Amino acid sequence: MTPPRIVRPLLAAAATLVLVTSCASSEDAGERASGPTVGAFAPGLVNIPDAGDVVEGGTLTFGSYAEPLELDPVKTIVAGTTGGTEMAAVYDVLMRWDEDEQSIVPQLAESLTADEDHTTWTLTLRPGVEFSDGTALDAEAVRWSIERYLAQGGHDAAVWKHNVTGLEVTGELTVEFTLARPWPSFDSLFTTGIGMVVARAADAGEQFTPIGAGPFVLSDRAPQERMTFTANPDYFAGRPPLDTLEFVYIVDPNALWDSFGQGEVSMAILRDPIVVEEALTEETPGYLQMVGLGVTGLINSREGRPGADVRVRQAIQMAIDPELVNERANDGAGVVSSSLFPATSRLHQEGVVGLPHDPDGARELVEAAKADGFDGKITYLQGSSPQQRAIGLAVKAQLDAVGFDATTEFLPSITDLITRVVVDGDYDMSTWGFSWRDSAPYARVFGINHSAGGIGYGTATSPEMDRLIEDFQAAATEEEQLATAEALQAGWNELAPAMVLGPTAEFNLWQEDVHGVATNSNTMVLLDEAWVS
Amino acid sequence: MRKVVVRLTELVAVLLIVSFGVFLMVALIPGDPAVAILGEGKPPEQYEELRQELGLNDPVVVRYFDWLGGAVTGDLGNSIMPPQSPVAERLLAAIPVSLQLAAMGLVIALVVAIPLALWSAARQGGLVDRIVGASMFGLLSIPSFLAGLLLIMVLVNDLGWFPRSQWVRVSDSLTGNLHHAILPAIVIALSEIALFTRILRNDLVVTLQEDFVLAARAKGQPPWRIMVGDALRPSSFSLVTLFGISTGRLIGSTVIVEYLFALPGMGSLIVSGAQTGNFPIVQGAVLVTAVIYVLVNSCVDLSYGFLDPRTRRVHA
Repeated sequence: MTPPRIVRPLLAAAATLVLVTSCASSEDAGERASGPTVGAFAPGLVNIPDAGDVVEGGTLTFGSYAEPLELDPVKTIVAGTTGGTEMAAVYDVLMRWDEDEQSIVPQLAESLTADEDHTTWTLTLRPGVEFSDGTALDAEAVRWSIERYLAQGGHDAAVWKHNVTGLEVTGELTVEFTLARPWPSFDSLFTTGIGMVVARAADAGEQFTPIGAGPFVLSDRAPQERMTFTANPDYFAGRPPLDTLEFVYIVDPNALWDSFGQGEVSMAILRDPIVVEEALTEETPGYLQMVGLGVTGLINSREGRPGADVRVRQAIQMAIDPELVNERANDGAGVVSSSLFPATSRLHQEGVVGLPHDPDGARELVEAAKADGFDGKITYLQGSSPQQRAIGLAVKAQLDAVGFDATTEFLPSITDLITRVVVDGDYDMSTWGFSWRDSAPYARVFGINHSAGGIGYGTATSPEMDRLIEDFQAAATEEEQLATAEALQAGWNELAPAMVLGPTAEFNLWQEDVHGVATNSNTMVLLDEAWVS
Repeated sequence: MRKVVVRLTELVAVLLIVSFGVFLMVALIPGDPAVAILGEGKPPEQYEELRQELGLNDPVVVRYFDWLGGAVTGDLGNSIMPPQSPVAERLLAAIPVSLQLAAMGLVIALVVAIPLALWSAARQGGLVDRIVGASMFGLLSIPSFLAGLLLIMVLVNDLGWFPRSQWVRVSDSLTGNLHHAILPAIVIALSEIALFTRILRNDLVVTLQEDFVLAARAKGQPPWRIMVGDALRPSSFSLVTLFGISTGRLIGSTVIVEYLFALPGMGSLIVSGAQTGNFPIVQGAVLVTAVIYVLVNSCVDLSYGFLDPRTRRVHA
């Protein structure tokens, strides 16, 4: 039985206390959707109303569920769900992902161009651009910011170090990058953390101060409540239309959606599948990104763990029916798939799929592993929210059904989960989100599955997988991309490094009187041209 | 005067016990603050270095006395999670929210409960008394999160009378503040109304059997005057005690209401602090809650002398 939406926060609220702790037709999604459509989920800009003349002034209130601890692109993951939109307001980005054009275009930079084999890239900056403290954003400033990012271990530092062999300031406004291998989508890195240029003065005090050259300046912050940004009058493209940008933090997705319905917030970002589906079926304007491998389960392949045996890893994927898990956890809302490139991805191809749901095949693999000494015991780490508990129980039941002796361990907080998985490596299986986006899939694929990636946390890698990932990186044309994506899926099925349940929908939504919102990668939006009619 | 000195001594002892207990509990919370601060994917030695820097490897007792040394001078330390602002600053932002919600909730509860109790006691055993009694049992049996959701469904989603979430500071807009605070305050008040009404009604029923009430009746005083002028004050002991306990309890325990309405009060601060291992925040917040609790209850104890002068002689 499906509980009424209003009752769902009851469960989440109860969990908090313990801690102290439809589909619409594809036509409904609007003609500007840029990706393949599954049910109500049509990636891209959807239901965008026509805009009139720009109206200057006013405040735009943006509701978000996750407050970034620090507006530092080195320390905070740069994505719309984790504070990326706030950081883009402060720093802007050198390049941005244009969802309409399905390409990377210049934003703060004037251009970023590659030589013929995509091994040498030249970044050209706009003249006269200044940080909000009045210092120049020139080639030296870019070099300093990137070196800071690498030295402090930003999220894309590993992929950069693996690929970039040289960074040279070749002029006051030009920087040249030399790569170890061809990389046609190298420019995508400049749409996120590395592309957010931090001023030197940011590190001058005892604590980090967010100083960038973006359209807004942080003016006030009330932790766990709101962040207020005011327009930067010296922004390179001219003062933004909005006077003030205010981010408010509402943890409960139902409360956030209700607040949006009441008009208390002009924009919001949602990720709960049930609420996102409701927002999409109500034809709410916004920017939808489908995040590949959004719902996954890490499988620890280190020596001594059940997942060290490839038969066990394959059996896990084959034992699980993603549809059933989704039915239990999300009342069937959202998109399910065991593929790296699900039906909502531009890289999706008919017949290129993950390991099928095959309980009999899984049972045979488990029996074979048991014959070689595996005792069948496996522990699955999960969070404590009602949704995570439902996923945990559904996975356990299906694993038990094929011969595993599964235990589900519910951890009280994300910190505990990270400690167990990342720091201690003490897990057999764990809930996780690899989260790769169509706008820039390579960097994430590398991080997770390349032996030099650094964010796989014990998941299986292999020289063959490294080669497939590097082929995927080097693919320049759409044809090459599809061919390497197919090979990557085949390699993944053989290696079975993780349990894949499906993509996650991330939806930036806005009221019909909001206009001029620009898209970027990682579900970020840029608000330098946004205005409210 | 002596009573005040004794009270203050007791207060200090209670606070020392509470603060040490909280320190121990925070130390036992699973999770690693170093991981919460640095996030995933850093080399293990970086986590270890930070633990060392934060003193997390020191024995709990050493860490407690370090913290206590600062606390007695008013320095509750800094949040270890960004923004690394002083704990006192964070508390000063959260306390007014919780205090306002608790105050509004208690005022609403008293305004509703006192007339209901008077009416119910005056008609003891009658239809009104039975209806009030049954209604109060009903209210007591509804948890605050369920009551909150029901009120949100009707008053917010269906009727649109109140905003769903967020908080407006008094300094930004008084009317906006009241508009955002009233529904959470009503949710808080519901269970208190039931408790206050039950307690006061029962005490009133006992008081109405006293000789001085019979004398007042014999003198022909109107019933409302007997209830309000003669019976109410001596019947208020339990109500005042409960009021004091509720005030302290509500400051730090409105977590569910704060979660439902996305309010930045003490409950949210404590929960998020516990979730992220931000122990200076948890310690500071619990200490302040304990101080308020003890102070309010001390005031309640002192007020007994006003309610019934005989108690002054008993303690003298």
